[in-house]
Amino acid sequence: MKKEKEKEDIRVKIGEMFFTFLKVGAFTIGGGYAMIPLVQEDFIQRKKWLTNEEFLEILGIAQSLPGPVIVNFSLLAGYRLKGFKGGLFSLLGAILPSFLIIMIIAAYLWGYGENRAVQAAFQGIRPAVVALIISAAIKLGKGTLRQRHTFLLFLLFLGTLLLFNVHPLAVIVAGALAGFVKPYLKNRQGSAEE
Amino acid sequence: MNLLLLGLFLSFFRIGFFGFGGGYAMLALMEFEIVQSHGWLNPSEFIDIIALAEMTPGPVAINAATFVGYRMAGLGGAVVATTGVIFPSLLLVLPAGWLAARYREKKGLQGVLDGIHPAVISLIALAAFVLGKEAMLDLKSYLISGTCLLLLMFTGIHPLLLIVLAAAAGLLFYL
Repeated sequence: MKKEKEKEDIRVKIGEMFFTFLKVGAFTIGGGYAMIPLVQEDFIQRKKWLTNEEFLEILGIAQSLPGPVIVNFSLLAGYRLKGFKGGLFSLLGAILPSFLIIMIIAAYLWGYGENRAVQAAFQGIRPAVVALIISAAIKLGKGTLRQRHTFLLFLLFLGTLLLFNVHPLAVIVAGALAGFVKPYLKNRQGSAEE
Repeated sequence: MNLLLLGLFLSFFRIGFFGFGGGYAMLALMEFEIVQSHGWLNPSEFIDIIALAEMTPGPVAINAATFVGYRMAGLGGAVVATTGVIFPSLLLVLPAGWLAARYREKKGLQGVLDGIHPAVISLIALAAFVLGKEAMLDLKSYLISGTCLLLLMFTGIHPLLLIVLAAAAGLLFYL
């Protein structure tokens, strides 16, 4: 499973990978996606552990699988470089900072939620969170909802979710099925697209 | 107690296993498990966790798992819930990486991923609707949300700064 590449002379240490992901995990605020550019800089530009193509390939796989992207990414990158142990320690490094920080908040700081000023601040923050979510949908939609059939699927799914309170998984499965069936329908009509 | 731990593990395992699209796309599923099914958090606590996740390092799903687990069952709960959310990745990622490298060229797989995209975006939009119901209580909250959305779309403002500004607006409007 090792690639016969020039990887051998770049000696990657598991400890070093752990600390690289630990640093990225500790200093990137704003969800898993914010971590990716930092990993890119460390792994490709500075340490040259991965080529750009390898990086994009791993990121693509990490994004198409369920689960947080950085969890999948750290596992895959660590595995590529140092086998299963490498994947495990990269993952640990990536999630340990957020685990510890949230533990401290849950244990010591959350009680201040009763404070009136904190309440008012959070009343302002909640609409901002909604705006963040809407902007995420718009930014992702711009890329993938360009085509008419994907946009129609989106409207259909959203309508179903809002009207019938179906389980979120239902639309994922329906989307996967629609995507799987579509090329076959196309072939039968004999339309030679792309 | 043990049943609670098992429930936490299974719930967060489902969130990890069916949470396609990362971050925001997982919110609808998380809301379903944490708020609707189990009532571990009430709706406004859930939004506050998302805000907290924006302000602290790490993915939202990990932050929520750690927080809910700790609140429900202490340190053990935090470990169990967090393990639950990453466990599917441990099971799926390595075989999938191997398969994807082999079958990348096949049309079927790409089609499935293309079909999942609109579903993922519909789930993000759903999260906006569900949480919006809880967050938008008056005209001022629509004003805050609208301003934030404009800032996000046209200025590339950092989410952390956005939340700090929104907190200031909250103090100004509601205190």
